[in-house]
Amino acid sequence: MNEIYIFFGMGGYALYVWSSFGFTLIIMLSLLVKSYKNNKYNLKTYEELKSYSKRFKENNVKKP
Amino acid sequence: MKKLHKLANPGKFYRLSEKILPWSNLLAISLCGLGLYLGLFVAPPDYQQGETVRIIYVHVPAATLASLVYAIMAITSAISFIWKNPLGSFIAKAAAPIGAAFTIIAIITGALWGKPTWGTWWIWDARLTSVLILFFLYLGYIGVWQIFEDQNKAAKAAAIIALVGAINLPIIKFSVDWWNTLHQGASIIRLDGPSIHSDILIPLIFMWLGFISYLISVLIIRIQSEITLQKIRAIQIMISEQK
Amino acid sequence: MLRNLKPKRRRLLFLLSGIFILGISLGLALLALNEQVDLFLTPTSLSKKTIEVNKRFKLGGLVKKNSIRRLEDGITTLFIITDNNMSIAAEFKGVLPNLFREGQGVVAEGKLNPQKIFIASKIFAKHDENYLPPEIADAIKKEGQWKGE
Repeated sequence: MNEIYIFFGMGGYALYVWSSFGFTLIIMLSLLVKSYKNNKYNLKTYEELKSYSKRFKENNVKKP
Repeated sequence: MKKLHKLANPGKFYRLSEKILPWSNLLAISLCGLGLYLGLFVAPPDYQQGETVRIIYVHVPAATLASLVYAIMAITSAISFIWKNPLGSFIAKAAAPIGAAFTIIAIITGALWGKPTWGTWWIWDARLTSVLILFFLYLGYIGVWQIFEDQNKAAKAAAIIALVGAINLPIIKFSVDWWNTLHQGASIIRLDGPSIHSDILIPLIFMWLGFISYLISVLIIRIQSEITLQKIRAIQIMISEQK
Repeated sequence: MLRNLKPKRRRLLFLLSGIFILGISLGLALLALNEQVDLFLTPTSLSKKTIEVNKRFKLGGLVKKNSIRRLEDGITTLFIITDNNMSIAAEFKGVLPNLFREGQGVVAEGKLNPQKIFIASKIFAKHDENYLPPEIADAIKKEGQWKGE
């Protein structure tokens, strides 16, 4: 128990050390998640547009 | 040279990047994990700073990559400007938010490190000020892409910011040698070798390699996103022309 | 002449000359501003110029060995700032940062009093670029191989 206490205590600098690691983790993770979601969204939009434009072309060809 | 030209083709790049991505993900997780374990559990405290020195394991990788990403942005912008290659501006555009994230991490962790060691969160010395300018350059660069409706114009304006701002990079690096600052001088890249003991340096190197792998992963995801966005635009233009 | 170049070369040339001109002009500007960009004066650079009494500025250097004296009031610290060439006596009332130690770097903000003593109102500890485990620092000091301080 005591060892854990010492580890998290960081020699009295716990606030500074842990907020540094915490802030870094939050920024890096949120950028990763945002980039990943954005990529998935774009891919989905692209697939939808592709099938739409396919139908669009077929309709255009059939009409006249 | 021919191979390079192939790589400069967005489609080829996309397929190649798909192969790299799982590996860079794996490396990012394992290297950061190992670096954190060594840095938090194995590495000793510093003889002067005590435990606060552990902030080095996030501050230094973030700060060096903040500059490195800007250098990547400037080089790819220059390539896209000279060779009129779209992939270059995709890479630069995709890299900017990553660089901005690393810069804000460097600034905040630096403040959290400065308070207990220097006795202040912030000081207007040449190093801290030039890094703050780097952050504003990133914001300006990202802003330019949002402002211009015409993506070709945006690419040109953004490239100008990236290239002009690159002059800040040597100023950041050498600020601690050229002027007197509160920030200490270089510890790793020195003529007489690193002045960091290997017990502290080795975990730092693992963290740094982990951050590099993270950079590669997120950069790939963001470039893929840009390439897809370009394809979406092409289809939209096609549809609107057929209407 | 420039018109005969390929567009690619022309753009490259344009870019390089733009960066070159900008770099030179920024370099000159920074050279002119050199002293303003410096965070602090050293005792030597201070001795070369006259600074009026009561004008605020920053003074930096090392805390001289065996120079720290604490007054009986409990909050006043006297010490000497040195750059190993010139030295200036300084006085500070308040809580010192943790890394304020003899032989370590310091930046003090304040003003000179008529007796040419630097009355500091803020103290920043500057730390050097050496990172060592405590045991190893002790061992080096014992062997007399210590380069710092």
